[in-house]
Formats: sequence, C-alpha cells, structure tokens
Amino acid sequence: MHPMSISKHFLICRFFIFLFLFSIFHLKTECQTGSRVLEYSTNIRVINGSLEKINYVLIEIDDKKSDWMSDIEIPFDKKNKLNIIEACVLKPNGEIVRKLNKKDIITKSDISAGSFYEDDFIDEFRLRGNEYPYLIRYSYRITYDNFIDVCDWIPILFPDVYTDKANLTADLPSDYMVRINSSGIFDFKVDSMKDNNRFSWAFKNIIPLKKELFMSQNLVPFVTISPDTFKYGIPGSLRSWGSFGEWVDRLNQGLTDLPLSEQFIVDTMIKDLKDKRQIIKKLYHYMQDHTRYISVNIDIGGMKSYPASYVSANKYGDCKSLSMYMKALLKHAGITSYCTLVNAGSNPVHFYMEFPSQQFNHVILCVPLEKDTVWLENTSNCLPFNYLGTFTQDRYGLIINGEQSVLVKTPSLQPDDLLQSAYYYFQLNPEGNGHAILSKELKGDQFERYVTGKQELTESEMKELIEKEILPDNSELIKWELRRDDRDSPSLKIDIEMSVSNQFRRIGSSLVLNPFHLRFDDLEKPETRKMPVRIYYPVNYKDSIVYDLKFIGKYEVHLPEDIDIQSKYGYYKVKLSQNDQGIIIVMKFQLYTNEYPLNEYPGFYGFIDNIVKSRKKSGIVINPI
Amino acid sequence: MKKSAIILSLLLFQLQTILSQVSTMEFGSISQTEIDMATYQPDPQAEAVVLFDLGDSRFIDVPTGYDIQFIRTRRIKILSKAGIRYSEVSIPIFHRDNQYETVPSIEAFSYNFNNGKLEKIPLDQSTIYEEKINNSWRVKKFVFPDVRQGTIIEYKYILETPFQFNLPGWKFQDRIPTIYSKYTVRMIPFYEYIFIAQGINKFDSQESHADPQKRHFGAVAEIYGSNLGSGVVFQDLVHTYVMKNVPAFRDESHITSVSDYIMKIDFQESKFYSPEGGSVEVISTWPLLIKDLLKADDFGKYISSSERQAKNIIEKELMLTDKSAVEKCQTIINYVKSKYAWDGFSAKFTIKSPKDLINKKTGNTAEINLFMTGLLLLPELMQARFC
Repeated sequence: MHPMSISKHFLICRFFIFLFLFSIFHLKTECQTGSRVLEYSTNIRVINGSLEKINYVLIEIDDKKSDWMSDIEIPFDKKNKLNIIEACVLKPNGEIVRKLNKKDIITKSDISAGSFYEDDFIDEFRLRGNEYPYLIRYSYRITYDNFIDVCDWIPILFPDVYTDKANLTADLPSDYMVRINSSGIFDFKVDSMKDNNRFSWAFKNIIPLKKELFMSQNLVPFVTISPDTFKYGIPGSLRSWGSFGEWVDRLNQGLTDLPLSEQFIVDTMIKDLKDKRQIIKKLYHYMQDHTRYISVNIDIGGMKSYPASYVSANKYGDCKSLSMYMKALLKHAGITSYCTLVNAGSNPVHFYMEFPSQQFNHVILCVPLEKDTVWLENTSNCLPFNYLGTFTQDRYGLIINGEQSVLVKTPSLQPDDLLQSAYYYFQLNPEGNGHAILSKELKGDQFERYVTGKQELTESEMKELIEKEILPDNSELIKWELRRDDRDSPSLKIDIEMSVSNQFRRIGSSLVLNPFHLRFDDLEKPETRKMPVRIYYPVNYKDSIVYDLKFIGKYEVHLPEDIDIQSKYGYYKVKLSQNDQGIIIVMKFQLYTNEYPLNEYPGFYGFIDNIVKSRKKSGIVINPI
Repeated sequence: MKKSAIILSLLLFQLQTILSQVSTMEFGSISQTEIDMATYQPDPQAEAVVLFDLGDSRFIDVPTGYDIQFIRTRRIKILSKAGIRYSEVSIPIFHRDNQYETVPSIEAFSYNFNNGKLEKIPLDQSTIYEEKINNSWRVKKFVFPDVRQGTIIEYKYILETPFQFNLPGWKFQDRIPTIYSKYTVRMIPFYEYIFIAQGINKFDSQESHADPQKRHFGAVAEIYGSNLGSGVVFQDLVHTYVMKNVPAFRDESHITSVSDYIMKIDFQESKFYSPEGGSVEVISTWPLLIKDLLKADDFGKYISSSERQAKNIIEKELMLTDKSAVEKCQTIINYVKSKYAWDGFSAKFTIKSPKDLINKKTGNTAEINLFMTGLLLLPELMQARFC
C-alpha cells in the first residue's frame, strides 16, 4: 500500500482537529519582539528500520530574566545515541561569540518524579551570553533502534514562550507505512521522491498557552506519526488497537510466574471462599497489604512488566508489575483478568480512538464477572476494592487480550460518589472568638490524598496538610482524627476541634458574619479567557454550619435572603435560619461533568460570578438591641 | 507429592536465624527485643528508629599509598507505614579525573517476624542501581525487599576513597531517633585532620588509643627491635566517638539546611607528614589558609594573572587618570558588571583562565570576582587596604 492511499485518514483527523482548535491558536501576523524561540526545527528520517531525529534550535535572549532558556537540557536514554552537533552563543548579527566546550556538558540521570530508577539521562549545558540581546543556537541528533512512534512532536520548546517558526520534516521510505494525527494551523506538503516521501509541517507565530481554570488538556498543536509496524524489543503493529494490544500481550508473555510458596498462600487464603467476588477481594487485600509501589524502568521496561516472581520476592513493583502480580494471584485462583492500559491523571488528556498509538501511561486490572466488571488499581495500599478514583475514572482504556484487545470506557464517578459534606459547629462570644468543631466526609480527590497521607505521612506532615486545606480562616487546630468505616470505604471522615478568633467583622456596634467556608478560585474574565471549559468530574459540596451564639438574646439578627442559583452548569443554594440559640446555614453546590466551547464561557463565568457576588452580599448582620 | 514439594520450599524460604535476647550490634544477629519493639518509648510518634549505626574508617595499603576504607553498618526498625520510606538507601560516591570512590560491597537484609518465625530476605544485588547526579557525583541506591510495618532492615557497605581530603564525617542524628551511634576512625601518622563537632556538647563516650598492631610503610628490616630499613614502622591511632539515644531531628522551619544543624562530626585534612621526613600543611589556621589560597592556581595566581591581563584593558578602555580613588573603583566595577556576565555557577575557585574569561565574557562567581579583584589591585586602589 502506498502511504498516500492512507493519507485519507490523516486528512480526516487533521480537519477535525483543525476546527476544534481554530479559536485557540489564531495566527498573529505582526512580528513579535523580545526573548523568544526564533526557530525550532525537527528533521526525522527512517533508514533501515532505525530512526534518526535532528533538532535545531535558535533562541533570542533579550534580558536577564530570560537567561533560563540558555540552560539546555537534552533528554535521551541508554538505548539511544545522542550526538550534539553544535552549540554556540551568537551576537544578534549572527557572529559567533563562543562555542560550547565538550567538557562543559554534564550528563546526569533523568529519573522522573515518583520513580526510583530509570536509565534515562540528560545532557545539560549552559550557553550564557554576556551582553543582551544575544542568540543561542544548538542542534543535536538522536538515533533510535527501538521505537513505537516515529514522532510525537509539538511545535514549541517551552509552553510559556512565543515561537516565531517551527518546522517538522519527516523523510520516510516510500514503502514505509504510517498514519498521521495532527492539530493546529500549519502549512503542510508532501514531496514525493524516488524512494522517499518528505512530509513537512510549518508552524508560524505560536502564542504561549497560559494555564486557565477548568481547562481542557491537549490544546497544544501536535503531529504524531505512527508506523504500521515497529520494533520495540520485539516487532509489533499499530494497524489496529487489536494488533497493538496483541504486541503488548506478547511482550509480557509468561510473566505470571507465581512462586510455589505464594501459590500455597493463595490456596490457603481462598480455600473456604466460594464467591468469585469475595476471592478477588481477598487477593486484592493481600496484594495491598504485602506490596508497595516502587518504579524501576530499565531498557524496554517502560512497556514490559517485571515477572510476578520479582514482585513476590521484593514485594514491590510499578503499575505494570503490580498489575501482573495481581493477575498472577487471580490466575492461580482460576480467575481471568486483563491488564488494561490507560492514561492516568485527574484531568484526562484527549484520547484519539481512531488513531491506534501509544497514548497510555498507566496500567490497571480489569476482572470481568458474569454480571459486572471489577476494576483494580494495584499501586495503592489503601484505596478501596473496585475503586478507580479520579486518577483513572471515565476514560478509554485498552484491555490487553491478544488480538481481541479492545478499548473500553472505565466507570465514571457520579455526583453522589463525590459528595463532600461538612458540618461546622461554632461557639462564639460577641468578640467572635471561641471554639469550633468540624466533621467532614472526604471523597474523591481529597479522599484519595488523605487516605494515602494517613498511611504514608508522619503526624506533623498530616497536620500541616489539614491546616493548609481544611481549616477555616482564623482558626487554630486543637486536635484531629481521621476515621474510616472499613478498608473498602470510598470515604474518610475527619473530626477537627479548633479554637477560632475574629469570626465577626465589626461595623460600628454591628457584628457581621460571613459564614462561607468553601473557597472559589478567581476565574479568568470572559475577555481574557482563551480556552474551552471542561469539568472532568462532578463537584459536589454540602456544608451545614451552626453558630451557637449564647449572647444572641441581646441582639437582633438580620438574615440575608436565601440563595438559589440554578444553571445548566450546576447550582448553588443557601438556606439560612435562626433560632434562640443561634444561626443555621445550609449550603449546597454542584458542578456537572461536561465540556463547554469557548463561546459558552461567558455563561459559565456568569454562574460562578453570581455565586461569588451573592456571597459578598450575604453577610449576616447582628445588631445589639 | 506436590504438597511435600511446597512444604520443602517453604522451609527453605523461611531461613531460620538464631535469636539473641539483647542486641549485640553484630551484623545479622537480631535480638528478640528488637523484634518485639512496637514503638520507641522516648518518642512514641517516631515512624522508625535507628537501632544502631556503626561507622569505621581506616587507611588501607594500596600500591599508590593509602586509600581510606569506610565501613558502615546500620540497622533500622520500621515502626509505622510512614517509616517505610527509610527502606530506600542512597550512598553518594565521588570521582575526579581518573580517581574514583568505589563501593566494593553492599549487603542488605530485611527481617520479618511471621508466625513465630524470623524471615531473613536478602537484597537482590541486581537491584542496586547507580544514579548519575553530575560529572563528579553518583549515587548507589537500592530499596530493601519486603518492607512493612515492623520490618527490621539492616545494611552494611564498604566505601573506598582515594581522596584523603574526603575522610568520611559522621552524622549521629537523623530525622528519626537513633539509639546508638558509634564512629571509629583509625588514623595513621602521615595525615593530620582537624575535626569539627556540630551540635554536640559532649559525646557519651570518646576514647583514643594506639592500636598494638604494628604497620609498615616502605622497606622495614627489624633487627633486635630497631628498624634498619628505609621505611617506617607505625601504629594506628584509634579514635572512637559514641552518642546514645539521639532524638530525631524534626524539620524546623526557617533553617538553612538540616545538614547545618544536625549532630555530626566532620574532618578536614590539615597536615601531611611525609614518611621520608618533613611535613606539608594542608589547612590549619586562617593565615595559613589565606597563604595557601593566594598561592593556588585557581585563586591567588588567577588574581595576579588577571592583573597582567587587565593592564591592557585599563590602559585602552578605561580612562582612569584624573579620577579619584572612589571614581576609579566605580569605573572598574561598572566596567566588569556591564561587560562580563555570570554563567550562573557559584564557585570558590576558577576553572577558566583570565584570558578565557576575557574572550568568552562569561564566568563563574570566582572567575568574575577575582578578575575584578585583579583589576582593582592594579591602580593601587586596594593594596593600601591589604597592608
């Protein structure tokens, strides 16, 4: 098949994403000045099954605060050859001031956060000029013998720096089959030569992307080129999800080698259990209690798991290896399970279903039962059985099952799963000082962090976290307790006792109470918002606040009106009441899971802004009689 | 048949170790008290406790002279899950040019008490990794296998260094409490060190004695008790420092670095006595240190070389005549500030030559500041102050 015949797929993808992103990356015609990337080019060649990548970078640095761009880091891994072709400092007219000396290159390990060891490295060097402005220019070549993607390229070097132009060219043999996925605005052309095709993308004037609240992922333009067949350890194919899954399966063949001693333990543990679900649960708890997450990735370890025997001996492993071990435990119990690749993260990246490629960074286990499916996250010692959480919920995963490998959607968290309810009880004197308790049920993301913290953090680290995140303003922690009903409960209860001060604002002889403890971050104004909105899982809060005011008999309370703001984005409700003991407030707030295009942003902004404004107006005024 | 195979393998798996009642602080010998310990009484919140930490440094004979051999033996009890983090061990090693520190041996075991039996799980040597920090430092690192709440972990490693200036210091304190910490240094008469104890008022025990074992340097021919050879006979001088029940160093806010506050001793090489007679001061007093620095190629000699290089600059680029001393200073300082850029590296010593600096126009802190010192010396501005 000639590659041009498959470019139809490419065109469809491109067109689709083109529309999707049009409003974000608009072309800027006037010239940008100041510190910026003048040129970033990548040339890719596939020759005789190996891949060569040459990157060329030209940067202008105009002031001291941009000097950081002259600290160059080039990542590579042990399997690949890195060759720095050129690195120099130039005057703006192009005259070379100095060239990099080989001995000024520092090679150091590049171990990603949370990982114990990886055989990845960085070549690091510094190209400082002495007078501003100055230019730096460098280029390097990396050769890969093992690769899954031909490229997964973005036309920017630094997310917060303007880029004048960025080019990608790919020289691919005519008989080398690829599929291409891309987004953004670019000039594209294909030059067909005798044995080669050259694909070129030219991007111009790329504006930096600033982080915004509730933003979508994947808004940066990109070009991904996936080969039809590849070699990474062993040969594989990306023709379909089935073929990719089959490769993953083959690479991880024969790794469920549970040692005899452990087989014996499994037999003993499950001998009185009949129910499949009970057996899975029992083995999952055993795995949680005896292993922990330690990630060591060497060679093709990014895709290949350690055998179950490794986890059994060391009692640790990364997501792949712990999942493989769990799979081995289940297999010994006669239960079939499937490792499932997902892209983990609370705000999931956009998944390209139509484009089989390595889009994953995490492994979980899927155990299909007759009526439903059990999902197991194997890297946590404390998450409940059959709980995926904000890290992996509601996204596509690839179930690894030979040629039958398929994409499935993981279950999504529902508003009820995420209802965080809090009960505050304040006892205050007219000065606004006193004592308070807070009982809160943590769910979702907060539950996941605190249940892990409860296990892994020291008392003082935990205290710091609570003071920073949960304690209301002007309060001091006296004591706290974290409770959990049982080990599979998806929530955690926290009871806090605290002393509080200055809870009233004084205006003349009036006391003003602002009883809202839920904090809202400042949203971008509609004029400045650049990106669509995405609520990636529901937000659901209920706060009940009781003010026990013994002195209230001598005062008159002016309660503001109840609040009820409803919209398609969510709702916010406040009910206030008073009795002879004090004041009671019930607040409910929800945001629904959804995505909204940029032109709907003013509506979303208006909803949140109404809430913030209503809170400002809703101070409770307490006047002496 | 199958069953008996399983039982047999289980027996092999659960290596029995003879239990002693009291900690002997002997590698591999675990006491019942250590197994039973659930919390550390003086600090019930402690997530882990160092049961003992023993360090031993000595000068060993190598063909080129003497290397320092450092052996560390450490045992930790993990008291809660938060303490599991102490099962990750890092051993930094240094190298310069063709000289390398090495770690010829690491032994590590996890001990778990399961159903009345003590399981001893060895560290798989293939799970020891080496992380490259920069061009001078690497880190040997490993994680203990099968660590949970209640596990006792124990390791022993040998580090050999050809750098006499790098006589290992000793930290008596950690972020978790330490029950017993002992450091033994066996000195030989050819090197003298100054030792600095930080945060320690008094050692629980501190003792020095000469090792009765005699050692030789060079050709020694003893006849009736006197050495007729060209070499020397000497004895190690053994110094021992002990601290007991050292509390945990818990992070306190607003401190520069834990290392500046923790209880420790450091050694600094101060003098080298040649076995052939004569001695060389390494670092001993401030005036001697200044003298040394002024003689050093990458410090004092750099300043004088800057002075020579600067002549041209002063004559051709800076109009200093008719200026007051203050104005001369300002002109020179502004000149260096505007023409030379810091490359972002902080250093006491120079790497490049002043000529290089003038060409490249960028340098580390030492290169730029010492270059400026050279410039300031020239019009006899600072000399008056120096005298």
